[in-house]
Amino acid sequence: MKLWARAVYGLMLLTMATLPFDPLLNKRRIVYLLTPVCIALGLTALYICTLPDKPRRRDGSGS
Amino acid sequence: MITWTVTILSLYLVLILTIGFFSGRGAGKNAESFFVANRHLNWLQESMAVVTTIVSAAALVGTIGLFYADGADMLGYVIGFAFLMPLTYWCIGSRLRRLGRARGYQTQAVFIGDFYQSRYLYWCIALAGIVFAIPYFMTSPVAMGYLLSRYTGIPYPAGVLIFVTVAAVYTLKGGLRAVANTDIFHGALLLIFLLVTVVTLMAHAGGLWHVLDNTPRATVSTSGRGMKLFLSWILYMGFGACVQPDRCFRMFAVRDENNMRKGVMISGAMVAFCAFSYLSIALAVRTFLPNIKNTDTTLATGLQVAAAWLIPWFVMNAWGSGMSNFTAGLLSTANIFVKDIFEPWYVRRHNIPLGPKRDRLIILAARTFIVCIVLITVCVSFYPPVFIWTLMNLWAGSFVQFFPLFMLGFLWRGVTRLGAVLGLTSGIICMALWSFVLKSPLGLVPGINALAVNTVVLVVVSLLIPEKKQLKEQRDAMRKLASPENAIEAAPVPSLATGD
Repeated sequence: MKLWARAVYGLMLLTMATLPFDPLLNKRRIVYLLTPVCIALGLTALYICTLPDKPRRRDGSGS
Repeated sequence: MITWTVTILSLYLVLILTIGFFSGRGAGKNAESFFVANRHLNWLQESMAVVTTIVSAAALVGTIGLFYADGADMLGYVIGFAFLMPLTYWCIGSRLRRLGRARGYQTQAVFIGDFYQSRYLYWCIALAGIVFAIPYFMTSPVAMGYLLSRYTGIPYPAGVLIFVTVAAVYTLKGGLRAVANTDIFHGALLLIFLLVTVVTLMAHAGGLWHVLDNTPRATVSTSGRGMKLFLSWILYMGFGACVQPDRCFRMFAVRDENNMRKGVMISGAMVAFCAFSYLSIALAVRTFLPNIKNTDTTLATGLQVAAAWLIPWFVMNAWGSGMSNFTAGLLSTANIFVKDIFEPWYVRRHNIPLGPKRDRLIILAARTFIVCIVLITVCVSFYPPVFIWTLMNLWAGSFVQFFPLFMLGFLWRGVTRLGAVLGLTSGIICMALWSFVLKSPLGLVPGINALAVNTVVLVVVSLLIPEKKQLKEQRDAMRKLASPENAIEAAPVPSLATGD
């Protein structure tokens, strides 16, 4: 799951950061609609990446 | 219109003072409760604080002007905040938070000083935090004084005094808790205002498709200055935002891992929404007002033509954003002064023991410092020096130079003290040279080129010159303490509800 999330985050960032070099996506309407979609997907993926791997102990003694 | 603006702003200021007063009760017990709200901020307080500090009054005025002038090339600004800022905030912020709870850190300088065992780095960060941050947040009263004078006719000095007094009163009373709770109020109003503004201006401009099809600069430039601008903004916003002291010190205040995670992601989403709103506003205004000469007036002029009824809300939100920025700056510099300078150099030297007496002295010093800063601000606002904008540019470029110290420090075991010292020094020297003496290479902003030099020097020196084993082991111990695997949250604050 986390691997997929990392891949999605990377892909979204790459898609947005390489807009000047991408004549297919760098079009008026596409850029405007693509940006919020990529941001939403990227942030969701990043959230999944940051989730802890296993349930945390609550007694304060560390993992 | 004037009556409406004055009424709405007055109501707003009364509400802010009420929220600040009630939520800040009991905050003056000690430095931890005053500056980091007993390390109990939740995700909403954290995320709204980040949003209102980034979406400052300067952003509502100046940044929307940049979007107007450069159009979609400014998408780099949106991408930096939406993608890289949450990533860097999480990587650095969550680790600083864990270390802060474990070791009592509440400023960047103490952490960096300990991490690299370097007095030089400690003083660089502490002094930069005060010297460069003060002119940055002093611009808020100046801008708000002019804004009030323009839209209501209230004299500029009166506007400055009202602004500074309200902000200082609730900051002095309630510290970070008061500031964080008023930020929630500011932030909610700001998001609503931006949404309403985008819809209204787009409707006036003939709808989204009409705006996109008829505005120049609605796509990203594929070469030249526009493309460099796009890439520069991604790096500048992505790497700079999380190490600026007025935002960074709040990371020490977040309650736990879960609140940190939510706060980081939600602040990323909200800042991205605000930045995307700037683009929408700028493109819409460009459609019906293509020749605005002073781009700083883009939003105000657009509203005056398309929706004059929003002007009072614009003034109120600009004041809210300015106040949020100003109070964050006041607290951040007072925090640096007390924890990095006053406490180690006065309290410990005079052997004042831990306890209520020491707490009282520290809080008194913090409040006195804030009052002094406020008085200086008033003087500067009445006679703004010509070099204040130069200092502001230096501020932005200087703080981005601290980024490798944090990021590489946490993520790369090979980093050394000498590498960090030489990297930071070369970064700051290059930034000053490319700002004042030479032209910045490749057409990029000086701070980004200096950051590249800084990082290369840090890595090369760290690889070439070995370091004492003891220093490496100390840093490894701190990395371990800061790592996500190390669950240390329950220790300082036992849960009363579960009895754990």
